[in-house]
Parts: sequence; C-alpha cells; structure tokens
Amino acid sequence: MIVESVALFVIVLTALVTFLTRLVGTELMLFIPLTPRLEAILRSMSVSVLVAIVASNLAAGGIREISATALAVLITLFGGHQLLSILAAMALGAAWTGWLGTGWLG
Amino acid sequence: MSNTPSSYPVVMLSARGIRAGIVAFLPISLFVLCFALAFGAASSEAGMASEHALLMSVLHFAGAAQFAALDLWAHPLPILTLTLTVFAANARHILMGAVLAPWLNQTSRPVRWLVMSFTSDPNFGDTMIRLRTEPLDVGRLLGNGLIMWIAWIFGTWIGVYTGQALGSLKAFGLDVVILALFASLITRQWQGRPDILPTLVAAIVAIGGLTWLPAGWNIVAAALAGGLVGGLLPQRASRTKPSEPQRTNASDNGAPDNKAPGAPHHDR
Repeated sequence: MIVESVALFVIVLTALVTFLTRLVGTELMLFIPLTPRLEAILRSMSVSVLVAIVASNLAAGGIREISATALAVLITLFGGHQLLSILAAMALGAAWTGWLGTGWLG
Repeated sequence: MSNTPSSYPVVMLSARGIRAGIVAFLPISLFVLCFALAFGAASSEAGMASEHALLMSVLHFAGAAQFAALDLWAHPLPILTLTLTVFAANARHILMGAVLAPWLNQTSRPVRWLVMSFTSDPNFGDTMIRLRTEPLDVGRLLGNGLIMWIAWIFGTWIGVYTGQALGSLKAFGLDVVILALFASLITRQWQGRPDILPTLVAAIVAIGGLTWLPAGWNIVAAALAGGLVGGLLPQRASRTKPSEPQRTNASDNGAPDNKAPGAPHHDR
C-alpha cells in the first residue's frame, strides 16, 4: 500500500518540477541573445517535440494507430478542420477495435 | 529584450482575449475532458487515491507526465525516478517557453508566469500557427489554457469515479486523440524542406530511445537532436521564399494563409 503522506509529497514535488519547466524557458531567454541560428534551433525543436511524441507512440502501437494518424494527416492536408481530423481518427480507432478486436491487427 | 517589439508583435493580456481564447478552445476542451477521463480511470486502476489524482490534475495540468507518473505508481514510490520522469516528460515546456520568449518577454513577469502555467501542447501548437500571420494575443493563449485546465480537472473527477465502468480506452478511440491532434498540428506547421531533416532525426532518436532511455527522456533527446540539426542547416539556402510558386508543394495545403512576407518566421 502506498503511504498517503509520501504520495502527497511526491505529487507536490513533481508539481513544482512541472511548474519550473513552464517558467524556465522564457526566463532563460532573457539572458541568451536570440540569433537567427538559435531561432532556427527553437523552431526545429518545437516541431521535433511533436514529431517525437507521435513517432514513439506509433512505434509502440500498431497498424491501427498508424492508420488513424495517417487519416488525421490526410484530412488536414485537404484542408479539413482539426476537430474533424481528430474525430475521424477516433472513429477509425474505435471501429478498428470494435471489428477486429485486440488481435494482431488491433 | 534586445529585439525590437515590432518584429514580435504582442496583444497584451485582456479580458476580451481571454474570453476569445476560452470560446475558441471549447471544442478542443471536450477532447481534453475525454483524455482526462482516461487519466482518472487509469489512476484508480494504478492504485492512486482519488483525491491525489484530482490534486495532480489541478497542480500539474500535464497529460503526458501524469500518465508517465502512473506507470511508476507502486509501493514503495520511486521518488527520484518519478521526479526525473515528470521532468523529462515536461521538459518540452522549457522549449515552448523559449520559443514563445520573444513575444512573452515583452509582458511583465507575473503575466508570463501566469500564461506559461496554462500553456500546453494544444494551445502552444495553435499559437505557433497563428504567429505566422498575426500578433501573439496573450489573453487568448491564457484563455485557451484556462478552459483546457477546467476540462482537465473535471474530466479527471469523472474518470476517477466512473473509471471502471468506462472499460478500454481503445474501444472509444480515445487513445489516438493525442496522436491525431499532434499529427494535424505538425501538418499545419510543416514548412517543407527545412523541416524534413530535423524531424526525421527527431523521429529516429525518439524511436531508438524507446528501448535505451528511461521513459520520457527519448522525447527530450529527440527534441534536442531535431533542434540541433535545424540549427546546423544552412540558414537562408533552406528557406522557402514566399514568391517561389514551384516550391509550394502539397504539404503546404493545410495552411493556405501562411507565407506572409512579414511573418516572424520568414524575415530572417
């Protein structure tokens, strides 16, 4: 059984860590001059974070997750609204699990 | 700031901006609510007390990190590993802050701390798209975050108490929500050639790191690697000029209103 007070301590501690990560970025940039190169680094980072999260999720998932993600990309490419792309991906994911279950395809 | 304010235009914090931000993100918040519901359900499954799960959602407001923490929620609590994992999963906030700094650092410290406290992937992504063609509306960014935060808490609350009844997330397709959201954000942010190599490297490092890095660190490593590659690429040669029609390939269709000549990302 997890000790309540320790759990509370961990939650508050990690909350502080989370809060710090939110504040550090802007403060740090007060001391670092924003050169074109640094700007390029930051821009690449901002898209890389998202790509990294998607890539590692897809690597851990299967054809179902890849198909749902590909559908979202396609809908966005053809000018579809973001919410439409999410709903379509959800529907595909739900239908896939509903019809194919959790076998090797699921 | 050493940069002139004019190249990073800002609409200062206003009630109107906050309101607009809340309204604009009402639909997104529904998904956030579903995602939070999933977290609430998973937390009771992991043996976390309901009030602790709720407190976590109130204080953290960070989906990826909270789910990562659940994975490690066992007796005895691995305090150091938990703290490092939460840091790793949230380290991208540092990058977001750095990316938004040219705009946000024109505001007072309390304001930017407040705004950053409610900045998360969806409103960061949305803001990055808007920044190409319009100023940063600080209120809007905050409003986006506030409504998502409320949805996140409310969803956790429902999930904690109805979790078991919900069953599998996969059955509702809830597990692919974040994938679809990010994929759509990437597609809209995509700028063609300059993005290919950095994101390719990021993807390789992220996937490779899955096996040899502790949870969350693969994302940090991937973001840093992608950023470095982006910084090493020749600056001007790799930029698409707004006036060159042959460079406008299919991947730009998702963002028809970009390439404004004066937009911050193009005037380097």
